[in-house]
Amino acid sequence: MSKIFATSPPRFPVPHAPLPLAVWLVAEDAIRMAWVRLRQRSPERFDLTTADEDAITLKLHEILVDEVYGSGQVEGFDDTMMHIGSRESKIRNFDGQHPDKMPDLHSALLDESSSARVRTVYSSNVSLLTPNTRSAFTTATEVFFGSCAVTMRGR
Amino acid sequence: MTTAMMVAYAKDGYAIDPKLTDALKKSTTISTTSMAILCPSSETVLFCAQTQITVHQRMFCYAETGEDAPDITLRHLWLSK
Repeated sequence: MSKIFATSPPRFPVPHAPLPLAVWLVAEDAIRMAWVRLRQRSPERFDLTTADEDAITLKLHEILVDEVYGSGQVEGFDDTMMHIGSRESKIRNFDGQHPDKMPDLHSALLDESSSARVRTVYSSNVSLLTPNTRSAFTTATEVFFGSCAVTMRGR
Repeated sequence: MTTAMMVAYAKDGYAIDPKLTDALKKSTTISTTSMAILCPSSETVLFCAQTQITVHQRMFCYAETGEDAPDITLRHLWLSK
């Protein structure tokens, strides 16, 4: 662990290079699968019609982690390519003036050279996921997802 | 980051077409450079609409370079409650 923080953070070019379409399609397929599973639960277990946005996102995240990730049901949605972060982890904004931006879900892309290192940090302590520690991942790319409840925002 | 995903939980009667475009047209704070188009690589499946894509202008400069941020592409995934 100490080795990660002993090295100077690399400088990233901004804006980051666009992610391949396949990455988005994998993420979307995973979310769709988790959603179908959530919909198929009985109202006694979880009532989507009355749950608020945060409760739905919590359940969706749990299903993504516990039932979809690494299950082989969505090719690529596993630790060969992607890591699911914690829900509402704090991310700074573009200039650092707002350090507590909290995307509902985020994921980090992995590759063979970085996956072990990223997994180590993520599993050790979720609170380490600050922008500074993430910037130490030379080959990880963040993917952010926002969720909004249409029913609540009237969109 | 030049692409992000918005996931919406939509109640009965709310469909991405035309609600998304209607909302963007009404917005006075979101600058939309490309209204919603269907993602040809996505498809409608049970309880989940086909992904739609919009593009929006961003009005900030990167602290690292001082350069203007480019437009951001949003992928909208609407899930039916």
